[in-house]
Amino acid sequence: MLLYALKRLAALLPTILVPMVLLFVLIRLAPGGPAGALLGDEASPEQIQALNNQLGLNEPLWRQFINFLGSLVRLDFGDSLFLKANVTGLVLDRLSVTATFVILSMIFALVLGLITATIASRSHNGPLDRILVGFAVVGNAIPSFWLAVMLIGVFAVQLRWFPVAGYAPPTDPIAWAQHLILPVFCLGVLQAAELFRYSRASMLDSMSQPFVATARSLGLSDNTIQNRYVTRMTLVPIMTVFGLSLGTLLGGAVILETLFSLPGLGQLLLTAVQRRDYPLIQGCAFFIALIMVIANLIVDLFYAAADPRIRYGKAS
Amino acid sequence: MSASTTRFTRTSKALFHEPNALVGAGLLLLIIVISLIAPLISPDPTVVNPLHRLAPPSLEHPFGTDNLGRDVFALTLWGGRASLLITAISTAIAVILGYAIGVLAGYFRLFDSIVMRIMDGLMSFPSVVLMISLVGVLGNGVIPLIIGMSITLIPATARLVRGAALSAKELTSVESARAIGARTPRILIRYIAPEGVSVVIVQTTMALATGILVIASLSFIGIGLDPSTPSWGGSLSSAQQYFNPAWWMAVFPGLAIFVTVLGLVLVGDALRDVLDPRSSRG
Repeated sequence: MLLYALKRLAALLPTILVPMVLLFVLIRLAPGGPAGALLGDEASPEQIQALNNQLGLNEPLWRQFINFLGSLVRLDFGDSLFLKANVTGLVLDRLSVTATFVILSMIFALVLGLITATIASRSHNGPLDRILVGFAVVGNAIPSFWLAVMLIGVFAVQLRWFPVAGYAPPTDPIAWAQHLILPVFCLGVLQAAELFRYSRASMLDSMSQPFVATARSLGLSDNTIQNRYVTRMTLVPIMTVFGLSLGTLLGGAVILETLFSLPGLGQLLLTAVQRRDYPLIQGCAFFIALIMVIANLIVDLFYAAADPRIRYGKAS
Repeated sequence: MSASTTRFTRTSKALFHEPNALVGAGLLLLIIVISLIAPLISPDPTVVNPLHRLAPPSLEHPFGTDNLGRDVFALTLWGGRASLLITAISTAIAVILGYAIGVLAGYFRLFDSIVMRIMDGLMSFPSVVLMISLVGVLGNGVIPLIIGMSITLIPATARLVRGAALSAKELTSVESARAIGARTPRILIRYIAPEGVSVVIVQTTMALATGILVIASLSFIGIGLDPSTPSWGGSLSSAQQYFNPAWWMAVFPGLAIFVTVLGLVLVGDALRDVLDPRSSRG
């Protein structure tokens, strides 16, 4: 199992390396050099020189690349150009808010998606099934930030049930929950639509398997068949979709954090981009990639635990 | 040639019997036509009229006016032009490059092991975050958006085409072509590449939908497009503070994004059902 975990980790490394190398190259391709792009036309040569020194851009390119790889390994991206603090520290401060937000949305999406998929597949082609499928198609096309703007408008601005935006630390559980309900709902409900479509298809697929007919002919009830066999059969394909949807979820979280003023990674990334704060952009991208790697590793290990063939066979 | 023509007529006939495909195609046609003729049928969306701020929908302003007194109807009609054009160009670039990469990766082992690693790395990174970081580094503007969007969209196409190419490689037709002395480029073009066509057609609709959503998300948080360019995302972002009483500022631009993406999703699903019944999601 450990060997398998290490293999998977090696296979996941490009998730971090590729985007980081891409950013490394693109930063250096900016017209007028990064320092010129940052300081504008009025910058004096001395200012540009000083900034180039700070960013390490005066060294030969191979040297810069070695330094860059070193910074990845040491998790040290230098200081933010505008916030004047260590990038890693800034990112780690924001990490817990994003993690809470994403994990809660994920749980909500998973519960809602699986329950609705079970209901729909049990009444296949019935009116309930059709309504749920319709909802899922619509949910797939709704932009999360539009849903959020509308829900804030109705439930926060008009009805005043929830705060419009902002965040409270979990030390004050009631305020914390009030600030998170709307964002978690917006992010989770749309993700549930995606999970619903795949889970329903995969449940219908397992329900047409011969072992279900056998179980039924033996007199097992629908509930027992569903809970003991069908749900278990569908867990692995659902985990696949789940792993794939993590990216969508994290991307959506970045946009919604700025809308709901949640002090997370997304908000930090946006500030970094608005000020072209290169070290901070790199740091945020790195940690987002790292989250993806860790999450995917967990999904992979879950697979291996659920299905021993994956552990020993051709792990792809 | 005749084989592909019959396939085309068969596909379009099958699509004609799918109500979802017709609805989707209708919605898309509506959005495209509106975006094309917006300058002919609507007033200038950039005209600011402080006397008519936040006016509710009326005959004069069917969708009301925004916080600067701009006509929301005009803003909505114009709002898709920039993002649709950018998405269409980036999707075209991404599909062509992704197609080529996929065919080559499916056929050449070495190319596969190097390039697909890079594609997988890009693909598992959240596309919105990738776009934000790329545009953040390249700077705002249409060209950075097109470059970033193309990079973001290539991996999915490449991966799907690679799958089709891998199985095409095992076809007996490829074996017999090689046996009679066909060269590799001919095999790639005549035998491998056509197997990827149906995958690419479905993937194009999905790439367009992703592109529209990502560009709208970016303009919503104020990145990429110049804020003075009318865009659905940009209109939505100014709508946030004025929901009470100006709900119309939020409803109509959002509806436009929704209709566009819904049209693409419906057409894409129907195409998948018709072209590739095995991977149909029921």
